[in-house]
This record gives sequence, structure tokens and C-alpha cells, in this order.
Amino acid sequence: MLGIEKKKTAFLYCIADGQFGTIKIDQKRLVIGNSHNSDINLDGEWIGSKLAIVGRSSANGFYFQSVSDKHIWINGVYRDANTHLELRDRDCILIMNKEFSNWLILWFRLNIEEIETKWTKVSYSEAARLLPMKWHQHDKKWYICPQFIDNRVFVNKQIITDTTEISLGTTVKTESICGIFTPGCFYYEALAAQSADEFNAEPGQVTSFGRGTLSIDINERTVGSFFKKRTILRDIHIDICSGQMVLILGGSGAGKSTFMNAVIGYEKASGSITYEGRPLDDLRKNENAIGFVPQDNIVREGDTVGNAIRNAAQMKLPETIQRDPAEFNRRIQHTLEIMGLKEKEKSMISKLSGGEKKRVNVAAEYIGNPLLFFLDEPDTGVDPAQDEIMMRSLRSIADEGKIVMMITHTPDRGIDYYDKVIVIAKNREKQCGELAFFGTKEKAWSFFERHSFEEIVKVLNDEKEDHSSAYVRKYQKLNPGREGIQ
Amino acid sequence: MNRASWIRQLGIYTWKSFRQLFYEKKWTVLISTLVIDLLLLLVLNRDKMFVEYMDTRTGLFAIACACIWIGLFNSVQSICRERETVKHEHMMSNLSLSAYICARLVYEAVICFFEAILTGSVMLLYFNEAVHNSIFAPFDLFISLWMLIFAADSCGILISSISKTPEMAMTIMPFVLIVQLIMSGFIFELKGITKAVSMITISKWGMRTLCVCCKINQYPPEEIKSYEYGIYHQNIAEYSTGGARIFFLWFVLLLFVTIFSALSVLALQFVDKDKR
Repeated sequence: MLGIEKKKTAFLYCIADGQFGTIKIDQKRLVIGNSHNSDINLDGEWIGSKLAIVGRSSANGFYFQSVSDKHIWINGVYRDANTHLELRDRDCILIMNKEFSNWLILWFRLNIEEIETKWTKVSYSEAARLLPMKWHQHDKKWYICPQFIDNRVFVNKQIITDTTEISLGTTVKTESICGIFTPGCFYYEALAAQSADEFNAEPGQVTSFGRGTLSIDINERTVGSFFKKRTILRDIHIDICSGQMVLILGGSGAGKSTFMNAVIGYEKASGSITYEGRPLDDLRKNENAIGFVPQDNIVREGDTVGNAIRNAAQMKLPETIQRDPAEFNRRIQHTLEIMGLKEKEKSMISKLSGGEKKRVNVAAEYIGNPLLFFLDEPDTGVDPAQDEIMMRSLRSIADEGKIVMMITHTPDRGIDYYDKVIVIAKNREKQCGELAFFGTKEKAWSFFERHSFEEIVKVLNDEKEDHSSAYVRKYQKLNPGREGIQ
Repeated sequence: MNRASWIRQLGIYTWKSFRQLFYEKKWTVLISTLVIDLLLLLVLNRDKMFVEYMDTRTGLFAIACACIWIGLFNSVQSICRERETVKHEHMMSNLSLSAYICARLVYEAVICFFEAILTGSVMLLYFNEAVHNSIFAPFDLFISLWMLIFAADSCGILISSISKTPEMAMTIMPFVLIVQLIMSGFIFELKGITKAVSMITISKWGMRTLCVCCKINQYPPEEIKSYEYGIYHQNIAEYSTGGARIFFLWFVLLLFVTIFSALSVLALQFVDKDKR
């Protein structure tokens, strides 16, 4: 119950016009400016005596506060002056003066020893050779898109699959390079020379750069007493990469919810569930990194929608955000809007329809911005229009480099949003749920010889013909590996 | 560790409980308290209570039982009804179970306070100055009633923490009530192990508190005239008002609250093991 938090170390790397410096953030407040009174003293008249403030907000929390009227981009996104940000590993802040003639990059790294880092400056044309992407220019603007489907390129901390415009402050991260676009040139750091350990940063920090893998190894989930045990789920060994939205399919009573509960830790199963080598239990207890919307209602009905979401935010969001009332309220309003609950903010939860209650449940977990998001039938009672909005939100969560796993009884509704499918079928010989398929949705259709997910579920539910056991055997024979059939 | 602090969680859940008080109209529990108090008045003898010893003692026992009933009913279903939500919040939002229980206690303390005001006021209005005579009147009566209802309330919280469903809580509650009645030391003369058990009943200490508060020893004892009484004679030592005895009895009732609360937190630790 009384735990001692291990303090994280953090560094701020300052890059300005070829010059490079490193600052360790070990105090609550460090002022960045050009004055000799500044804690972080930078050259340049344009910087001013007080440019920004960084510091440690808690044992494991760090923040950035802009206090000048300069232009600021954070991970490629333009932000207002006086912005306050809770810093995450590899956050990149570009600051420019009003005339766009001077600039400064602040690159935040977390939980590492101070590293030797060399930043190189190249032109855009040289950057084009370095980055594994197709480039083209149109109307004096540059556009990029990944060369291959398998290329995991993060632009502004999001995986891109389509053509994306490069603009000032855009950050790019590939397997070997991490860089930022400034006026006329590209600053980058070659990652290949760094140790692999550097990428084993805290989940929630690195995953946005495509390094997170959820490793699921369920040997057995049993129920019953010591004398009468029954196995209800067994032998599921798969890896899910960050940035994926995964559908969990299966016949009635196959073990879909049991599987999800076992992954989250709601139900104990033998085996291990890890994310980047870290047990999920650890992530759940220490990082608030998991969101779970179960089948049953988990919000108290004797309260209003707004209050329920507000309390969920107070429990889940970091203190740095809660101390900024504007940001805190913005997040709440954004969540209400995304879930189509803005008009119901003052309504009692008990007076809502079933679908609306479900959306409140999703919102209460969504507000925490979880790294891993699990949903058990979140679309029950939700109309198609609202379901579409919710699916888009879930897709955008996945696109931020997180993992979304969902059980639904209307899988064909959001068919375009899923990357992969897990099919759990009841092996009638062994009377327990097993993995019948894991892979892309296209491969799922060809594996099951069906054209839609609902047809797949129908064939699995057919009790007259034991297709379930046959598919389990078929998948086991293929032995496609932990990443499934792709 | 990314979690709201203990104090913050206490604040969140306390305010949540008070909001529910109004949104779900839980304040109607005060109406049931009033009904119970009025029912009591139907059976209490206005002419003899606070005049003769046995009638006073019997009446105070009835009031003590009513307070225990009120307290238990306040909270016996409060936690088990939202057990799934508590489990989810404990597992997913790092809810501190001790903060949750303390928030419940703060809320219940306020409810019990108003119930004590109501019950005490009914007693004072009905019996007027005959209630008792002390420097602290009527505050010591209100505090005694408050402590008694609150102690029973915390027992209800414990039952609710142990029970997995409201039905289970309502099944356990009558057994707890029976023990309070028969082990209070009022109906039966207790010896040996039963006497030891009675020392851990709220009813015994609540009864003592009310009797000391109302200075029952000042009333002349009457002879046991018939078998109908069946109650043993007064125990002067138990109800003596010397020194800070009332403060000691309040402390004992507070100790019940503390122990029941701690056990509730321990019981709720098992919430993660609940099965579907």
C-alpha cells in the first residue's frame, strides 16, 4: 500500500542553429531565457529574458510552460502562446520568433542516462534520401508518404499511411532517424547508433514511436474449485503492435470476454501479459495506462454526465493538466463532444437511454487517454451515426500509436477501422476457447471463406456442424507465428 | 505513479456521495427516521419514562435499538450495490479503498448527525425537561445518539463491504440485529462467553451511553413485582455518571467506528477477486 516511487530522470536537449546543449530537469521550476538570472541560459536576443519554464511537477511528471509570445509547435502541432504541456518522452518543441527568422528546438527525453547525441543539419533534398518515403513538391509545399506498406513512419507522433504535408515543426520518426523540419532544413538524430536499451523506455512514452508491443501469452484460464476445475480458455500466444485496432470475434460463449478480462487482469489466467516487457498489471496500477469499458455499466447512475466525466478525469489525468483549469475543461468538453454527450452534460445518467449510458462509460475511460484501450461491446444500444463517431475516435486513439481492442456484435459496422482480427472459437473436443485465427481482416475472410465478419460468427455459432474445432485445428496447422497471418 | 492523491480521492468521493443524496433523493431516509421515532412514541410511556427506573431503562433500550436499526439501514446496501463500479475503479483508476471508505464515513456521519438531531428533538419535545438534567443538556444527548447511530452505520458499511450483492447484505443484517438485541445485556442476564460477546456489541455500549447520559441512576428502582418483567435489577456501576464516563463511552463507540471501517477496507481488498 505504501509504495516508494522511483524518480525518473529527464533531459532537455536544446538545438539552435547548429548549436547543441543538454539540461537535466531536476527541479520544480527552471526558467529558460537569455538573462544571466535564467536557470537555462541561451544565447540570442530574440529569446528574451523569460522564454519558457520547464520543471518537475511530480516524481514522474514533467511540464513545459510557455511564457512568451513566440510561435510554438509541439510535435508539429501549432499551439497558442502561454501553452502548458505535460511532457512525454521524445516530445519535440519548436519555438520561433514572430518574424520566423530565429528558432530553437527543445527535445525532451525521459528516464535515461544522459546520452551523447549528435544532431545533423541537412537540406530537404538530402532529407529525401535519408527518409524511406516518397517525396513530391507542389505549390512550393513538400509532401511525403511511406514507400512501403510495412514502413512504420511516424509524423508528428502518428503513423502515416497517406500523403502528408510537411510544414514547419513537423517531426518525423523512422526506424533509424528522428528529426524535425525547420525553415529550409531538416535536423535529425541517427538512431541506429544508439543502444537498444534506449527504446525500452516507460510504456506510454516510447510507444508513440512504434516500439510498443503487447505480448499476450495465455496458457490456461480455469474456473471451479480445486477438485473440479474446468478450462475455459487456453493457448493464446500473440503479439499486437502499437497503432493497431484489433477486433475480437467469436461465437457465443467462446471466451471473448474471458480473453479480454484475462489480458487486462480482471480475471487471472496462467501465462503472462506484457507490454514492452512490462507486466500489464504494473502498467495498470502505476501508469493509469489502460482503459477498459466492460459490458456492464460502470458509472454511477445517481449523478450527471458532466460530473461523472469530470470525476473520471480527476482520477485519471495527471496533476499538471488538472492544475490548468482551461486545459482540464477543454479535455472534458472535447470528450463530451467526441462521444456526442455535449447536450447531455447536465442530464442524470439514470435518465439516459442504454446507448447513451454506454457512451458515458466509454467517455469515462477515454478521458484518461489510455495507452491500451479495451472495450467489451461498447456499441450496444448505440445508433449507427454515434457508433461511427465513436469508431473514428477509437481509430484516432490507435493512430496515436496506442492499441485498441474491441469486442462487438456488429463487427461489420466499423469494418474499415480494424487492422487485425482475433477469432476465438470453442474447441468442442476440449470444451474450451482457443485461438481460431489472428491476422488481418482480408486474410480472415479468405481463411474462413466468408465475405463478412458476421458470416464468420454465424458459422462459428453453428452447433450442428462443428466448424469451430476445425478452424482451431486449421489455424494451429498453419502456425503463422505471434503476429498472425498478414 | 500516476494517480490522484488520497486526499483528492477523499474529496471526489465525498462530494459524489452528497450529490447522490440530492439527485437520488436519499434525504428521504430522514423521513423514515422520523417515522421510526414516531412509532417509538406510541409505545413509550410518557408518564413513567424519565420518572421511574425500569420504564426509563426499557424506553432507552427501545431508542437504542431504533438507533441501531436506523444506522444499519443507512449503509447496509451502499457499497455492495456498486461493487462492480468499485472493482472497476480500484483496478482501472487506482481508487484507494481507504479513501473510498473514509469518504463514505464522512457522508454517513453527516446523515447520522441529522438523524440524531431528529431523534433527539423528538425525544426532547415529547418528554420535555424530564429527559435529563445536566450542564451539557441537550448536547450530550444529541452526541450520544449521533455516536450510536454512526457506530451502527459503520457496522452497516462493514456488512456492505463483505457482501457481494444487496441480497446478501439484507440476509446478513437480521443476524447482526438479533445479536445486538439478545447480547445487549438488557433482555437476558449474561454470563461467561455470552457476557464476553456482549462487550463487542454496539447495543451494550449504546445502551450504557444513553443511560449514563440520561442519568438513569437518579430514578428510584422499583421492585420486581411479577415475572412479566423478567429483567434483572439495575446495575448501578454500569450507569454511574462519575467523572468523564460519558466521554469514555463516546470513545468506545468511536472505536467501533474505527474498527468497523478498518475491517471494511480489508474486506474490500477482495473486490478484485470477484468473478463474473
